[in-house]
Amino acid sequence: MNGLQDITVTVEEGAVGEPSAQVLAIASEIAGQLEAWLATGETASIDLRSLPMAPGDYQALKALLGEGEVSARLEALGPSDIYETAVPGVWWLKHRNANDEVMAELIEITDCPGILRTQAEDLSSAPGQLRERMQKATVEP
Amino acid sequence: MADNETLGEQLRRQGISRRSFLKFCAATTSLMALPPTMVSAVAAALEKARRPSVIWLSFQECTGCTESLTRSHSPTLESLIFGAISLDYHHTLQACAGHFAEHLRTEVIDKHPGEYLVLVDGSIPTRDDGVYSTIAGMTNVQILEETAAQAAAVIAVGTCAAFGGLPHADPNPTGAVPVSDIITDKPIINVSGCPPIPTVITGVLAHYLTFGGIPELDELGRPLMFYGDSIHDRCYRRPFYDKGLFAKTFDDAGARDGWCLYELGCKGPTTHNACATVKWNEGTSFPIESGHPCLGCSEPDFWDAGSFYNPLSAPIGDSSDWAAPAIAAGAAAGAALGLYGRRHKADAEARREPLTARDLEDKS
Ligand code: SF4
Repeated sequence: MNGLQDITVTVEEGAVGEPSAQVLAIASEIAGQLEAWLATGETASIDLRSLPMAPGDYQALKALLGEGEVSARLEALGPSDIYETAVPGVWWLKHRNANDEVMAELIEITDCPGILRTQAEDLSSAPGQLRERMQKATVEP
Repeated sequence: MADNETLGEQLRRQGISRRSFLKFCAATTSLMALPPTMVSAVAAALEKARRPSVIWLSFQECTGCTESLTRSHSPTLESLIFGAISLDYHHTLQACAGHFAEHLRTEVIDKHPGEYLVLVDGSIPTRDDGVYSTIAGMTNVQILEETAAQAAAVIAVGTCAAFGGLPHADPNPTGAVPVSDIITDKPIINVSGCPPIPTVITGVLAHYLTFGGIPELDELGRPLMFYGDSIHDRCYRRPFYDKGLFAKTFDDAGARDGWCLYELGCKGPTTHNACATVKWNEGTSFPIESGHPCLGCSEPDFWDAGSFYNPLSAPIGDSSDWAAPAIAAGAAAGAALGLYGRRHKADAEARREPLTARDLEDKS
């Protein structure tokens, strides 16, 4: 055997099949949080790294929630992939670092994840930034 | 970074956008095992945080703890955290040596009394006046006492610094002791594990940086946020344990179907750590997920608790690999759930107490 590629790994059929009890528990927590949001207006989020997941649970949860209409990519300290799942108001956020390694992974129950909005702190310098860009564009050949 | 600059000012000076900062805060919050609802509180605190000086002392150790940290798979986050502390002294990482290095250490003590953090990996030899490990002509005991005297807190990184670890294992030829046996008048945070999970090390640092204090600790001085649950509490194989379905060998049908590894020696029921949720290698897996029982490396005296492959219920010394003196000095692996690792040395009778998985369940 020369390397890792020589170790045969069989991915069992139906690995993403029936969701396990753990996946169903997370899903009902999300359902409860959606109801709470409707009732009280309070949004919520779940840190996926804080949950004990068996092999295959992650994929099963992803499959269960599906993919919705919106997806966005953020470039800040590395890429982040953010999309709304097939369930309206349930967003999946995966933050990676510059080496493409996962820094955090969250599910947010909200109408729009806060990090996607233009940040007030960045907005204050926006007019100046645009003026600077205009100046550069006209002065430089 | 200017000495009095806050982390927020530092990041803005480096041109880090607000979104990047929020992403950093989301990752740090997750790192500290806090609920995501805390992100804005963490952001507000980090914005104002000031960079503490850190002295890292390495004693009787294998450098595995430093390896764990520096080879961890989230370098951007780690480097940001490390950008946020001033690591002024670390044998393996510092460029300078000899008098210059020692000068840096004493300079931090003189300049920032009561403000700097001391991180220690490795246990401290005490036998024969501590001659078994010396640095710059000082024994480890002397260097630790001198450095910790003015520190804000001491973080014992790894099981050796926290509980004595491998050097402390029977027959302990160097008289190795943990930090807490030498330093008794400072807050000590034990970040045990052989090595600790890298994100747990940075999580503890991040907590200090964010909140300026030490986190809530268990009775062994470990942060509850990472060591509050046992591996068994959070193990995804637990449903098999509860049904009494145990793998008997490493290659039987049960092992292939992911059954509980209790009978193969799993120390998960008596081990407190975050492996089952935080996991290793960028969240890929943890030993039990790779088919190997938990060794219990974050607990005191794990090395003397009998074979790694004997069930917790088996008397120590079952394995012919173990010499009689080691058995006599070993901690009681057969004691009831939760007692192991609490520095209880049960008597020989208790060590032979038969304990089945069922008994264990009844007692929990
Ligand atoms: S004994 Fe070990 S493998 Fe079995 S459920 Fe507990 S921690 Fe998991």
